[in-house]
Amino acid sequence: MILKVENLSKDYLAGKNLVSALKDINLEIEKGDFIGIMGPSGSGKSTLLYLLGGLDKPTNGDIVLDGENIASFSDYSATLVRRRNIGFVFQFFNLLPTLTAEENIMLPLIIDGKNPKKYRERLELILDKTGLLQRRNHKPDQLSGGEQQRVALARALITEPAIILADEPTGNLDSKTSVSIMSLLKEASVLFNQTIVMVTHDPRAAAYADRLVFLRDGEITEQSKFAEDADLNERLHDILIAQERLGY
Amino acid sequence: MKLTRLITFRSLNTRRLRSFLTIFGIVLGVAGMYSINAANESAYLSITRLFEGTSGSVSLEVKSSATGGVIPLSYLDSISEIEGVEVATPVIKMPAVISGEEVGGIDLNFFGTGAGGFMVYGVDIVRDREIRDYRLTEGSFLQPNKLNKEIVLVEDYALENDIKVGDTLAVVTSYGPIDLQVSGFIAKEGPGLINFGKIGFMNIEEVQFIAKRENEADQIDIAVLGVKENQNAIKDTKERIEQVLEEGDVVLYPDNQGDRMTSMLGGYQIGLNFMAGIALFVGAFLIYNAFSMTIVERTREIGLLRSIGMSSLQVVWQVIVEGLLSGIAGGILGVLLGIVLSRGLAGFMSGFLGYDIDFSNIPINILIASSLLGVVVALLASVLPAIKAGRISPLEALRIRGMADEGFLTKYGWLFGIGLLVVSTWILILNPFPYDVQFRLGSFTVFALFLGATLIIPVTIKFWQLISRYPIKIIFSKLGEFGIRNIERAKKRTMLTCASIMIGVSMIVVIQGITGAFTKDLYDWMDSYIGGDIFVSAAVPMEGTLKDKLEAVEGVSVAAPMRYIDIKWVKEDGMEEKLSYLAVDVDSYSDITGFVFNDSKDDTKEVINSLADEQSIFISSVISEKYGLLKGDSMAIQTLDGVKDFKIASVILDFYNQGLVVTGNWQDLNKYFSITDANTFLVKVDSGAEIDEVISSINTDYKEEYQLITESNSDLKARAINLMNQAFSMFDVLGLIAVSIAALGVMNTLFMNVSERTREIAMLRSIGMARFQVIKIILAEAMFLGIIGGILGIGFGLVLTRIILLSMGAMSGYALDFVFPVNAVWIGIVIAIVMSQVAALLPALKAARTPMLDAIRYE
Repeated sequence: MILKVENLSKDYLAGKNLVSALKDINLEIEKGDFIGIMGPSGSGKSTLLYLLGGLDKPTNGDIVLDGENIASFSDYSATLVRRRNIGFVFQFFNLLPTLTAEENIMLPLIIDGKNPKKYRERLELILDKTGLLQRRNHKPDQLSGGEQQRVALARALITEPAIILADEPTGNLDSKTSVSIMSLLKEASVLFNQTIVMVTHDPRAAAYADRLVFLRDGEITEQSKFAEDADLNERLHDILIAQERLGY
Repeated sequence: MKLTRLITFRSLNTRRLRSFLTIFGIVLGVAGMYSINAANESAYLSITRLFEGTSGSVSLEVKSSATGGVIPLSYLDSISEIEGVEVATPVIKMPAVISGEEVGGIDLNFFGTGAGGFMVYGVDIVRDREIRDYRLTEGSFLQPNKLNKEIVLVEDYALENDIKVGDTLAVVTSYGPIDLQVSGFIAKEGPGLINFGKIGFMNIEEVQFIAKRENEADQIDIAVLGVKENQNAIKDTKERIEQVLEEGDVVLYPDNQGDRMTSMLGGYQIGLNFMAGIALFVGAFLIYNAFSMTIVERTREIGLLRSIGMSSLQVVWQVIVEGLLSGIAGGILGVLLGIVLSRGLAGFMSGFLGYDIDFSNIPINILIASSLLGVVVALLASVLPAIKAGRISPLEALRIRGMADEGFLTKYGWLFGIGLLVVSTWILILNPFPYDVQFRLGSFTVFALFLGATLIIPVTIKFWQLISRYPIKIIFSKLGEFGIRNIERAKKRTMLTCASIMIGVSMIVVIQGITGAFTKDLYDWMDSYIGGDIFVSAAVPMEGTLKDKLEAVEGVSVAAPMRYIDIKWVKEDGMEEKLSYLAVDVDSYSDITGFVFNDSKDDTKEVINSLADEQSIFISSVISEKYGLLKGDSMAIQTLDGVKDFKIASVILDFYNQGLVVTGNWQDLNKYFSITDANTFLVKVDSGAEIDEVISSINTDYKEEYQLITESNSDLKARAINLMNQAFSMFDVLGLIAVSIAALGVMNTLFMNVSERTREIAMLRSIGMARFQVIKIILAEAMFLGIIGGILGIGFGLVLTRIILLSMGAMSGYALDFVFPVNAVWIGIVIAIVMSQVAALLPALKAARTPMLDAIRYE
């Protein structure tokens, strides 16, 4: 098991009121799993993702990543975990505008003080798989949104992290580009046996996952695998219809 | 108004650090401006008031044209009868020492050394009181025709020395000791200010008797009738008096003794003002930067305000009001700091002018002018950012976080910059304009030079990256290299920050370079001026025969007398110029110390001995260069025997009296000026003798008798060097103010960079960048700014130093060699780097503390 979450909860103060963002979450993720986390706004899905990524500390509970409970880690230890064991993909790509695509991809290795030259082979493979071979020397402002998100994905893959955490990776892309990014995520999951946890609103993106976790008011309301639940696709479709009616 | 309270006040209050930095920049500039001008004005006023007060209603003076000459009292009646003369009163001056007076040490100031002793004025009591206003504060004034050895003192001086009315004072004069009765005190004003209050008034007959100068006076002071009604009254009366005088005696307008001090202050002030102007210019940069920064930070807020209906003009107005408020706050705090600073300056100026300056007055005009200047600069600096804020479109603002900092100036400004560089360099090097135009253009030209350099920074960033890449990579690893790439994202901001560092550093280099060039010459001169081992001085000129007595003291090898007098040089065009004449006994003087010859080939026994020839002088390099006089030429000098030609035997380095000095021999002093006493003896001790022991032997034998002041030359030299450094250190203080303002600029820019990149930094932290690595990136950015500003600052500083030295040579006659200021370059590098790193600490810490979640989540 690559990630185990036990009795995880997160409270925070909003003014004088104590708000429970997450309540007693339990989750187990195996190596190579592609998990989608869905839920309405304010359900706690992003909070969960940030806790899994060591960006925030839980109020209670354990997060055991690759055998280590990162919930109790110091700031620096959590930094090292993020650096070596976790890859992030954000909705807004978050690339450094002054660096080329290739430099952006190599950034986590550079931060870790590694010699990028030793990772040439993996870089070439990732560039090839993400279709960025011809765009490697371009800076973000010379790339399309889809290309920028590919660079972000490549940056997450370069360190061979234990887990990739994706926060609405298609949230800022048109539908066509979204398809290509999700295909790429799926491919990475299969090709590199990469564990991926993705938070999304978009049922079309969620459909690429192996398993879906539904959150509401800080609690897991449902966990289903596409392989085991034949109705899951249909329920996603219903969500999509509902969203379209609401004008999402 | 409500809008202003709601938005502008809140904005200033919310962004406290930025408001503080902005206001602090103005405070520093205003404080510098105020303190320099206020200190100068106080000094100027104090000095002019002193000399105006002392001369009372004296309009003319009759004197002997030669130093040492006397005026016969027989003139008095004939002058009194001349039409237009209201009162004519004789004055005789006698240096003296009051026994038991606390003699501190040898007075040392920018005009040289002196014992600064007490002076007795013999006056005609009846006539003098018609001209000068003596205000009696205690006791009684002198009685006419009563020769009962009475003296009137200045109250402040008496209190300092614990003297009371009725006391009997033992006074030592060069004519021997006498006992005097203190009859009363006068206030320290008008005549009480003569000799800075160290003055006593006696009946003239009594002084004539003591000095054995019956029927003689040093001068006759004349008040002229109808001066107010008729502007020509003085001139006409002067002409009438001239007709009754014998040859060799002259009528003069009262000597403005303050001229030398005020002209010196003037030169010093120009330098200081120039520096303060640059500090204010850097301050304006800082304010502009800070305002631009708030606009960037508030792009969203402004966009929102625009989207809910605020007009473009309202936005512009809000920013301008913010500028105005900062300017007012900075102006008020600036003058307050300036008042404190000007008190500090008082010490410096009083020290090197050797004169107490009254700094209690706060000159209102300067106070208003400098605070207004702060407000105006703040307003001007806020105009461009305000216009920029007004142009923010609601849509654009709500969509993006920051604004691109690109503009016309960063793209095409370099063309204008190169033009400015070429023109200003041409003007500075070739000096194409007449002296006074060139002088006034000076500051503008230097300003243009800096502006030119500033404008070419944006297009040269790639070049700077190339040369800084490796050193920064070595210090900050690969991350540092990324840091320096961030700098190209806001070129205008980079340009302004680097420019402020450049100006600060170049000021330091120029100051160091110029003082370096000066100090070398000054040290050489001082070595010869304060030669030997012991410096012996006295409040009363010492008789020349003291030389033999001093040489008889155990441990003394040689004693050389020196005497400074004022002389008049009659130039070829008939105009007169006042010079100092230093008389030395060539044999003993050259035994003890030497001369610093302009042409080192002159440093021979033969040339030195030629000074002993009759009517032979050495002139200073300043006179030589200013008036084109060379060895072998001659100078016509007014002596007691009329105008005599003195042959120039060589040109030497001498800064006494700002270089307006000639050196002659002892025999000429006696023969042509009838002076036989000395004001200083340089004493050389026998090898092996202890200087302190010799000083104590001299004191035991002669201190009492001659009221000697003795000091070892090493102590005196140390004090002189200290004095010199004090004067120069004022410039250093201004340089440091400019560097501090530049540091604030760096801090501001980095804060701006950090706040614009909050999301980016959060991302870096989320993918595993540790806090210290974030700090490293920001420090690398700062170092890059420091390198650009530092290298440009050193380069332009060196060029400017050279140019200033060249122009100074052309304008004043001082030809100073450009000594490559190695120290200045090192200091410049260290300041640029250390300052940039220190300034980067807070922004770096802020960056390291960037809350990851907030930054990521908010999108």
